[in-house]
Order: sequence, then structure tokens, then C-alpha cells
Amino acid sequence: MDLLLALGVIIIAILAGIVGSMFGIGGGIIIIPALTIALGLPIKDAIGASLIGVIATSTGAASRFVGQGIVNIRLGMILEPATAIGSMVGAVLAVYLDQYILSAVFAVLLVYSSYYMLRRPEAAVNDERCVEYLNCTYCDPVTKERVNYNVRNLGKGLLASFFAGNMSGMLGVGGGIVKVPAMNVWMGVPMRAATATSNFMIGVTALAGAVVLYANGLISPVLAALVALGVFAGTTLGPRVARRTAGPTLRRYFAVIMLGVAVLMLVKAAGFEVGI
Amino acid sequence: MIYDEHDHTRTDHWVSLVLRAGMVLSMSVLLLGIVLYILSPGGSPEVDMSPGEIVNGIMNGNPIAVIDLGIILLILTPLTRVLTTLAIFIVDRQPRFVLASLLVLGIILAAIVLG
Repeated sequence: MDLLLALGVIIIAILAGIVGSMFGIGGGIIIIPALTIALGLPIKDAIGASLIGVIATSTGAASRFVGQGIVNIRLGMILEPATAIGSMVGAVLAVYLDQYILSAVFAVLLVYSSYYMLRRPEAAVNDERCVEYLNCTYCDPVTKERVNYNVRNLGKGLLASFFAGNMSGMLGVGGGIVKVPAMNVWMGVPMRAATATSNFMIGVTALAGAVVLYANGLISPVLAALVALGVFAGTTLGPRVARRTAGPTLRRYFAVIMLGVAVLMLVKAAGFEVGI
Repeated sequence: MIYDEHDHTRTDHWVSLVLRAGMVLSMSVLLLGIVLYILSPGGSPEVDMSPGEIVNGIMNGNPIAVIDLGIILLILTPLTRVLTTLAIFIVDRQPRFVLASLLVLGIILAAIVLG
């Protein structure tokens, strides 16, 4: 690998690490298109490197967010099986479903969720139907206030996690970008805790895929190593930026990222190669 | 089940420790591998290696073998994290979460066997 290409890979990985760790979305959505379109690398190498990148994002970001007490570990553990089953089912369904139609439907869904998040402010819930054993608390680094929140709609959350797994199994993206709004809008989890918890979960979702690819020799070592190192560097920055960003602002940025992903999905649905 | 601040911080502490250890370990090994790769005369061929070849390669200072070890350490981190939470939930006698952890492990295993 020549030096210029390696430098490009590292810069992309750092960016993916920052954005991925700030918003709990893994960063595959940045790594795969950037490696394939901007750097012209083969899609197979990009997918393997991206999975390694997602594990690195999750590890780097979650180690910090868990240390700060922002991750709702119990909620993550309860939702994880649904995501994992969803991604297996998705991988099987991917063979039968039309990728273009799927991308278009996903794009519409993202635009709708983004609109919803931009229009309606986050509302704390004091619902009697809340799932008591998942309720959690953290200290907000911006307001310095202790935030206690109730978690509700576990059924809907499990369904959304299953669907998030489906999307990542079928399209290779969509784990965090579906889970974060579902936790935030449906389950009443504050944005900061939702993104941190998603960061905590995505490593496990990517794990099975990474093992399978590695065992089949589909992970190119040098490329994957550069991506992992760049992402690790990025995850030292992302959580710091997130710490200084107010929850509602984080939420608005997330909505904008969803629109960006929707555009990417529409471009794909129109038949152009975006690498994912 | 009532939320318990003490249990909560202890879980956070261990999970954070495991993740940090995984990050530091894999990062150092990957960095070493990349440095060796850059320094190796004429570059190293990126071949697919079996576990035995990786061990031998590391002994001989083969950069690709070192990088492979780093990737394996990184992949093992989330797995170790699930095992850690499983252990904590068993100690804390929280059947619901023990079940969730076991389910995740089972699915990962199934995916690996089927893949």
C-alpha cells in the first residue's frame, strides 16, 4: 500500500471514529463509501475493514462512555439479542429482497424520523407503564445535572432493535441509525444515553460478521489495521466533543446525519454505486 | 427489582476496564505491526495465516502476523465484554440479564458456525 493511500485511509478512519463515537452509529456508513468511491478500493476489502472499524469505534467510545456512567448497560443487554437475531434474519432475507427498493424504503423512513426529531423536542416521560428494571441515571456533563429517566415501550424497542439488525444484515448499514432514534423517541431514553448505549451495543452486532470474514481470509490485515488505528484516534476526540455538546444539539445533528444517510440510500436506489 | 446504585457503578467499572484493556492491547499490537510493516524491506506479502502460522510469524517478527494478532485481540474485545457482563449478572443473580447475555453468546456462536 503506498503512503498517500495509507494517509487517505487513516484520515477517513479518524473522521469515521469521531462521527461514529459521537452519535453511536459505528461509522461504516462513512468508511465503506469513502474507501470505495474516494479511494477506489475493492468493496470486499472495504466491508471487512469497516466491520473492524465498527468494533474499534464501539470499544473506544463505549470504554469512555461506560466510564462516565452514561451507558445504560442493562438496556443494551436486553436489546442486543433482538439486534443479533435481526441481523442474521436480515442476512438471509437479503438474498430474496430487491436492494434498490429496500434502500428507497429505508431512505423514506429515515427522512420521516429525521423530520420527527427536528420538529418535536425531547420529552421526559414519567409513565406508569415504564419498565422499572431498566430505569437509569447519569450526570449530564453540560448541564451538570443528574438526569433520572424512565424507560418505556420495551416491546417497541425490541422490535426496532430487530429491525435495526435486519437493516444492517441486509444493507450493511442501519444498526445505530435505527436504534438511537428508537431508544430516544419511543423508549424515552435521553439522546446522550441513547447514543452512548448504541455505541456500547454495535461492537457485539459487528462481532459475528467480523469473525466470519476473518476466518474466511476476507479481512485485509494492513487496511484493517490502519482503519482500526485511525478510528481509535477518532474515538478519543468524539466523546470529548460530545461531552461539550448539549443533548438537544446532539439530537439535531443526529437528525441531519439521518438525512445524509437518506440521500446516500436514495442515490443507491437510483442505481448509482455508493459502495453500500 | 429495584435499581441499585452500587451494583450499577460496579458493572460500569468492570465493563469499562475490559473495554479499555482491549483497546490498549489491540492498539499497541496493531501499531507495532504497522511500524514493522513500514520498516520491513520490500514490504510483506499479505497472506492468510492459520493460528499456528501467526504464532510462528510473531516469533520471526513477521509484520502481518503481528497485525493479525492485533485484529484477533480487537475482535475478542466485545466477546470478552459479553462474558464479563454475563459473569456480573450471574453473581448479582439477575436471571433476566443472564438469559439475555447467554442468548447473545448463542447467536454469535450460531452465526460463526453457520457462516
